[in-house]
This record gives sequence, structure tokens and C-alpha cells, in this order.
Amino acid sequence: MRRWLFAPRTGGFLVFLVLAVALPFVLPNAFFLDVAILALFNASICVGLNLLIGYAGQISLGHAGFLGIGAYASAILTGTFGWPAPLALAAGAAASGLLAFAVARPILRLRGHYLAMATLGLGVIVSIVANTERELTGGPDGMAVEPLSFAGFVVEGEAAWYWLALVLLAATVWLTINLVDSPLGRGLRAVHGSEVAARACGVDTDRYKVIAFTVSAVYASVVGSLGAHYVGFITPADAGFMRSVEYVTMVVLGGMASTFGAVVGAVILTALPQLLSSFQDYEHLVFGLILMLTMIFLPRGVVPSCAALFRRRRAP
Amino acid sequence: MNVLEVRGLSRAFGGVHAVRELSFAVAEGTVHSLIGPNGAGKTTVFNLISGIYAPSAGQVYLGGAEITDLAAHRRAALGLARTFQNLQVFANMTALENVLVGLHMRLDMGLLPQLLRSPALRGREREARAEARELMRFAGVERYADAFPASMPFGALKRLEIARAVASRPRLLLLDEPAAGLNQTETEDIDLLIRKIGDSGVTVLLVEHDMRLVMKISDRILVLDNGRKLGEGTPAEVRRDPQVIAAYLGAAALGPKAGDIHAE
Amino acid sequence: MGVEFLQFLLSGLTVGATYALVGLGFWIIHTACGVINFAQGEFVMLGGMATAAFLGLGMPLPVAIMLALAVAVVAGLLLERLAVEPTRNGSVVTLIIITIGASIFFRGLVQVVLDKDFHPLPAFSGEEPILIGGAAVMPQSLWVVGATAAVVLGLWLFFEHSLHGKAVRAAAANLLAARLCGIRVRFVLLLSFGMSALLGAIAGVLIAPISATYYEVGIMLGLKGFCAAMLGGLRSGWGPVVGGLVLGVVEAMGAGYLASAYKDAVAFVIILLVLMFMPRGLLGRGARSERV
Repeated sequence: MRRWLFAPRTGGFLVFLVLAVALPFVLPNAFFLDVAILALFNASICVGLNLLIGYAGQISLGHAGFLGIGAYASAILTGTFGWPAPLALAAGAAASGLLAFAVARPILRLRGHYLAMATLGLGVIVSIVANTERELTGGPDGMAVEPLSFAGFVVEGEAAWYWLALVLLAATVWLTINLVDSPLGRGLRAVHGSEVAARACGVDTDRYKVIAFTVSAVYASVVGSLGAHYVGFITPADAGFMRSVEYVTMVVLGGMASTFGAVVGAVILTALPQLLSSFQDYEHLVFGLILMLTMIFLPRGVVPSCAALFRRRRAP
Repeated sequence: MNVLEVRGLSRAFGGVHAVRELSFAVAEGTVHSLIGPNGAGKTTVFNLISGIYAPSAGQVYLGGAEITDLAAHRRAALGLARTFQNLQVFANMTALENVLVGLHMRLDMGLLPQLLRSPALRGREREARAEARELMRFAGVERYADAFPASMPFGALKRLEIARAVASRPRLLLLDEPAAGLNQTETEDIDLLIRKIGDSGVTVLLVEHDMRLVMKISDRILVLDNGRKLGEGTPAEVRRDPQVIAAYLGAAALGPKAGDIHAE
Repeated sequence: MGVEFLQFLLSGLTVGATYALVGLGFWIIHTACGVINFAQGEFVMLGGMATAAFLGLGMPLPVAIMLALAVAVVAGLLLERLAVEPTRNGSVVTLIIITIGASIFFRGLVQVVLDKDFHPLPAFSGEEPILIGGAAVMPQSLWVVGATAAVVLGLWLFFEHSLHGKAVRAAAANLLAARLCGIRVRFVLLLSFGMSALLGAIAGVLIAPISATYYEVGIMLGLKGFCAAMLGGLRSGWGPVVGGLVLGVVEAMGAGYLASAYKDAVAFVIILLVLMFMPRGLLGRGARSERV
């Protein structure tokens, strides 16, 4: 029992759950709860993205594009065409998955800057389409999204959304932790470590990369749909290049190849701009500075660096 | 019976012929060495056999079945394993996890049980970890099980790669310069390890520069020069072959006369 | 066809020339140290915005331009020394993120120090269109194309015939060997960032009279310059030049004949197709096989 409690997998997960469940009871008002909900959604996206970036070692600078596909699919299909929300969400996820799957094989043959450019282009194209198809998307001004409802039940109020977002994140974290430590997860990490060696060990690296890319795209799309329902409004900027960069930054700040790192990174970078909102104009300045300083001084990210420090202190 | 057969294998890079019209066979249960001067094309031959490069011409057969056009991971599934001249360990995983990747093909299962960490998966993982530990003991690196490669000495990393390669229970193991960069004692340990692997029934194809090691453990030796086969035979035969001596061991070793012959 | 086609071609070449300049900036840094500098677009923005700011202080245009170019170069040197140098041995992802961080930082800085407004710069020599074969060309377009040609010629002379240029190429080919030959690699890196900041800023100053400058102008221009560099390939300096011009012309034609709303998407669709089907770029020769 003790070993089970203190293993990084289960122990970390319990700490996370306790903190997250206690949070709504200590937050002073709805504004903070709103920030917390956004942080949970972003954390979910980052945990999925981390599978691709941190574990499989493939950068994506276009992930907001998939988020945008999910968000717009939900907005348009429920609002304009009156589809039930779950069906719209599934349609968006299917569209994202198909797109990701179709481009994954040729794109993921690329490495480094070439992969960065290709994924970036993919994301930018999505946001340009959202900007241009005014009749469908409302163009640059964005469009309103109906509240989330299914079978006559409507998710309303900050509290309900908090628990929904938390259940989603907790499930994501749990499944990801399992996956990373499974044969499939080791195959993914081997792709990062050395692609030729992975192939020589019988890992179908192309297939694994396609799986990681497609799964994280579908996942971003699902969270994009839910987030759009929660916020009630979307604009092309939500699918844009800068948003993609923000997600990558959250992953990197928290710590690549660390599931809890992705959560921590998402929480910090979602909360920070809100808390700095009185310094609105300085937001970019601070954001850029954090990005550079993290990479220079904590290149492995906050959580792995702290974990290393902790281990060193315990074992002198 | 031949585990590996290579027929008329060629590969050119740009205008340079790295491997030309190479044919040879490796008999089951033997240790077969591939030697030759730097740039002779030894590693290219390995990359062609293991599917990292596609040949310009020729065929490769593993256990009688043609594998020339198969992807690298499919060849691994048919019983081919290899190590690398410049280490290719997974730096982002512990040593034990490195070996577990070697067991990958026997562990892979559907997505759902892996996501949910099903009891069946947990049982297989437990067995796999025990087996990986056993393999690390076999390779003499069991004390690094939970270490990351960055904190392991070079010699141990070389052995870790061998443990990872053996983990897939290959029919044919390609070892690319396992002793390169090792000191005398470490080389002797590698020698023992390769013998142990050979004794366990795995056929070994070896690229190595350390002649003492090669002469000691090889059943047969193939000499490459400029991508062509220069000679082939038992260590004793190769040692006597004047062409081999001239090209590889150096003309100087035979005195000025032999050098003149070679120059012509 | 005729006049309309010529009109699209000329405006495409003008914009393409700025893409080429930005792309060359990517190429120089990539050649010197293998880094793709995602802050390249911010040098374009700095060039335009600083010129506008100095003009606002009442300086004459040539002085304002010179000072603005100097500001961008200093920014480039600081970026190299303070952010890139300490992480030289980091992974590609690390360096991508650092330079992205720098670009956000530069945007934030300009937004705070200057403002978020659009600033049109005055054209260098009037707004009277010149007629070429029936197509109207703004004098500023000639400035853009002419200055780009001069820069390309200067770069060619520098890299082919000057000692410093050869040092950069040597460092690109083999860092250790270059060091052994007594080339100061740190100086080469600094030089490459300074030069590429200068190129970006020149592009920014040239294009600002045509399409006003503002603090976010560098995002799209930087990405398009990156597209240009990838399109032509990063193997030689001609890659970004050819890539930039091709991109500019295709974009203008696409906007003119197909759908102007999707003008910005053209570059990204092209680059996706190129990366998927000919990953070494238009001028790339053969695929480089991985070394094991």
C-alpha cells in the first residue's frame, strides 16, 4: 500500500486529484473559478499535445488548428444546423482525425524545422479559412456558441463546468500515465530517443507517429468543442498560430515528457495573464520573457527540474 | 542452412559506389565477421541488410525468405536484430526500459488494454521486466537497470545495446563494432559476451576493427575493400591471403615487394 | 490577359522581393549555426516601426531609416548573445521555442515602448505611378526590387569573395575544422545574426510605404519569408531568393485570378505541398540519407 501510494504514477495522481477537488472550495469568486476551468481545459489539451511533443519528440506548431476545427464544428453544427451537441462534437473530432491522419504520414517524415513549418502551415490554413468564410464562421469577429446540452440536460454555471472539465482532465491524465508506461508508450518514447534504433527493435515508427499525431489532434478537437460551448464564443484567433505557440509553451514550461508537467505548465500560463491583467500591455513582454528564460535556465521544464532537485536532496 | 544470404548487393551514394555486387552467406549458428579498411562499406552492408537503406541492386534473404523490400521493423519481426557503430540508445528512457523496447514485438497489444492498464497487460509487463533484468544480467549491466544512459559509462552503453538487441530473440544478430572505443579488459569482456550469445544459438554477423578479437571468435571472415568482396574464409585462410594482407593489414607489413605488387 | 497579368506579375515581384529578403535572413542564420530564427519577422517589424518612431521625432527620412536599421541590428546581436548563445547545444525544439519567445518579447516591447497603431511611411520618391507596358507601378516598388537586387549582389560578393563571408561558410560546413583554422566561431554567429537582422529591417523599411507597418506585421511576413526559404531550399542563398519571388508571384496571381480572400493561404498551401512531396525545396538536390 505504501509503495503504491508513493509511486510517482499513483502518488502524483492522488496529489493532483486532492488539489483539484479542494480548489473550488477555496477560490474566492466566480472569476477565479472561470480561470480554473480554462486552466483545466488547457491542461487537457497540453497533456494530449505532450504525448506528441514530449514523448514522441515530434513538434507541432499547428495544434490550435485542430482545436479550431472542433470548436467551429460544434458552433456551426449546433447553432446554424441545430445538431445535438454530442453529434457535432463527434463530427468535429472525426474531421480533425481524418485531416490529421491524411497529412500525418508525409508530414511526419519531416524533422525539426521542416516539421515545424508543415504543422504551422496546417494550423494557419485553418485559421485563414475561419477568417474568410464569413457566412459560416462570422469571419474575424467570431461567432457565438450555444450552451452545451444533451438529452434535455444543459451544462450551466461555473460549478458544473468545473467538475466536467476536471473529470475530463483526470481521465486524460490517468489514461496518459498508463499509456506512457505501456509497450505502445515505450515505442513512442523510443521514436524520440532514436528512430533507427526503434525500427531495428521492431517498432513501426511511422505508424506510431501517425497514431500520436492523430490521437492528439482528435483530442484537441474534442476539448476545443467543449471549450467553445463553455466560453460561448469563438474567433479565428482561437485557431491561430499564436494560440498553437501558447500550447507548445505550456508543455515546454511544465516539462516535456512529463504528464504532470503539462498540467502545471497549462495552469501557470493560463492563470498568469489573468492575474497580470492589470498590466494588459505588458502581457506579451512577460510571456516572451518567461519563454526565453525557461528555455535558458530550465530547459527540461519546471516539473522535471524540481523533481531532479528533490531527488538530489533526498539522496545525498 | 544459411540464416542470411546476400546476392549481388549494390548501393551507390551519388556517384560513389559504397557496396558493389556483394554476395555472401552466413550459416546458422556461426559467428561471421565482416572486416575491411575504413570506408570499405561495412556499415553500409549492415544498413542494407537491416533495411535502413534500400539497395540499388541485389537481394537479401533471411532464413530463405526474401526481405529486400521489407521495412526495417518488419525485418526485426522476422528475427533480425542489430547494434550501432555510433551508439543509438534511447537517452530518454532508463536502461531497463531500453531493453523493454527490445522486447517490444512480443509485448505489443491492442490500444484499449494499454490505456486501461488491464490485468493481462500488467501480468505480461511484470514478466517482461523480469526478463529484461535477466538480459541485463546476461550482458553484465544489471546494476544500471534504473539509470538513465547519460549517467552510464561508455562500455556499459555498448553492452546495453547488445542486451536490447538480444531481447528480441533474434535468429541473426548484427554487431557493428562492439569493441570500438573500449579498453583491453572491456574488449575481452565483450569477446566473452559475443561467445555467450553465439553459444545460445544466435547467429552473429560482426563488424569489428580489433583483429585479435575477430580472429579469436570468428568461424568465417569476409574481407571488404572498396565495397567489393576481397576474400572470404576461416580466420587462418584469411590471415594467409596475400591480397587481404596487402589491402587491409597494410602493404608495409609484407615489406616493399608486396607493396609494389599491390600498387600494380 | 495582357495588362492585368503584367500588373499582377509586377506586384507579385515587389512583395516577393521582401519575402526573399526575409528568407535570406533565415538562410544566413541557418547556414552559420543551423538555427531557424523564428524572430526573423520581428526584425522586419522593428525596421518599419523604428523608422516611423524616429520620423515622429522629426528626423528626416534617411536619418530615421539609418537609425532604425541600427536598432534592428542591435536587437539581432543581443538576441544572439543573450538567448541563443547560452543554449547553443540545445535541441531544435529548444531553439525554436527560444526564438519564438524572442519574437513575442520584441512585439511586446514595441507595443509598450511605441504603440499598437498602424504607421504608413512616406514613399521614398513620390506616389506618382509609372506606366510599364500599360501596368501602373508605384515608384516604391522599384525601390523594393532595386534595393533587394543590390542586397543580393552585396551578399553574393560577401560570401564568395570576402574573408568573413568565407569564414561563415566554413563554420557552416564544419564547426570544429573552422575553429581549428582560427575562425572565431562566436564572431561568426554574432555576424550572422547582425546581418540577418539588417536584411529583415531593410525589408521592413522598404515595404512599409506600400503596406503600413504595425507591431504585429512581422508575424505574417516572417512566416512567409520562412515559406520562401523552405520553398527554394536552404542549401544556397539562391534558394530563398527564387523561393521568395516565386511565392510573391504565385500569391499575386492566386489573389488576382482565384480568390483574393485566400491570398495569405496560398503560401502555406504551397509550402505544405512542397514539404510533403519534395522536402528539399525547389532547388534541393536529392534526399540526404540519414547517417547511422
